[in-house]
Amino acid sequence: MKRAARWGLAAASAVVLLGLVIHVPPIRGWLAAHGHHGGDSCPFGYGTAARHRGDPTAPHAHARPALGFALGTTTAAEIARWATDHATTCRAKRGGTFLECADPSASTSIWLQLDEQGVLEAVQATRREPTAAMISDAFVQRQAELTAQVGAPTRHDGSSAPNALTGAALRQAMVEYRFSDYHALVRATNMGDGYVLTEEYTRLD
Amino acid sequence: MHLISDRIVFITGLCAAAGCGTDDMKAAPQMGTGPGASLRCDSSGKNAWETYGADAFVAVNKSIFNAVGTELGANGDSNVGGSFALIGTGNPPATRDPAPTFEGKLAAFLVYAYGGPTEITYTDGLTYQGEQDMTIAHTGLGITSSQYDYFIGNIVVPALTGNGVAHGMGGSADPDDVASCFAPIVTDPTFKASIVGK
Repeated sequence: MKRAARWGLAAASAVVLLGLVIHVPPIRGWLAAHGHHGGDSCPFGYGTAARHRGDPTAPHAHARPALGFALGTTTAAEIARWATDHATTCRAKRGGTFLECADPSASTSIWLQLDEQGVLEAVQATRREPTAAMISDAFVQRQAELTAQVGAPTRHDGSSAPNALTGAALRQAMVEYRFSDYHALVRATNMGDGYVLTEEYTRLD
Repeated sequence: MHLISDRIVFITGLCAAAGCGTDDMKAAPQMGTGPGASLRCDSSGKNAWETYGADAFVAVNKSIFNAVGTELGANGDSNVGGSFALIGTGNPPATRDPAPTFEGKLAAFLVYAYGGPTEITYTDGLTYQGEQDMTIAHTGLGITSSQYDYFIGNIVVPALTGNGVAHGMGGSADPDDVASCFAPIVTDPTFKASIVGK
């Protein structure tokens, strides 16, 4: 009888312990990366932020590209392979639902946000360069890629030409693509002591 | 609606004569002593405060706060860092001001820095001093250079352009007031160094 009680207590303790452990950020990240989805909420506050909301009256995007990834499709495992292939170091945060990656060779930092299922839902990137030409080229290339994949930008402002950017500090070029289920925003800015390209890609619901 | 009131009323007559351009102010803005007081906007030949006035500065300040809130909600601390989320916590001590006080202080600093008076009454009815020590205000926050760049390029510049600050190619024909009378302060290496890495 005592043995049965001890086993029962041990089993109950194990269940409780497991219930606690699966909410610890690294474990949640590992589970997500291995296809274990679980519920949407975490009682210990490790859940991801609410999904971004889009304008339902806007058209749908043909695709949701983000620096070579596809929002709503790319998985954590694919990102891990990409990081390995590109010798990029990524640090997991917020229970593995957020990856901070640095590519020192390109002066670029990338932040990748995953949903509870380990699927990519947002990407931000910043790149700093000493010359306007480098940032201008990157801006033009990114704009061309996005336009080819999702269509013409819904908003643009400023000139990304090197002579325009070099003209004065805080000169900025911006291009935006807004759909009901996708948002992309790219900016090239003269920071006075260098030039910065910032990119934001968000999957919208 | 008088969002910011100039506390030094005797200047009013001088400024009105000079056409400082904030018609809905009880007391019109004055030439200040901040680092941007001597800057000249392409569009007007005057400094930013004289050119745009109180309502625009309030609008820009509120746009900055709204944009930070949106940024934190959408992307967390990935771009702007964790310092904004610490506002009101008191740890580090630079964060002890609650959000409304922080907002008023930022408005006062912007007004002072860009040529306005050293003291304002903000939309909350409270008085704030514009001359502030940026190093003390940012000590312990560990703000990185890239976070600063992101804040300026993706929060501040859109707040300016979104509230009507001219951002053309420069000169009187196509004025670029962002570059001519706002940028020199926030891109100044000494100013940036007073905020980054503290």
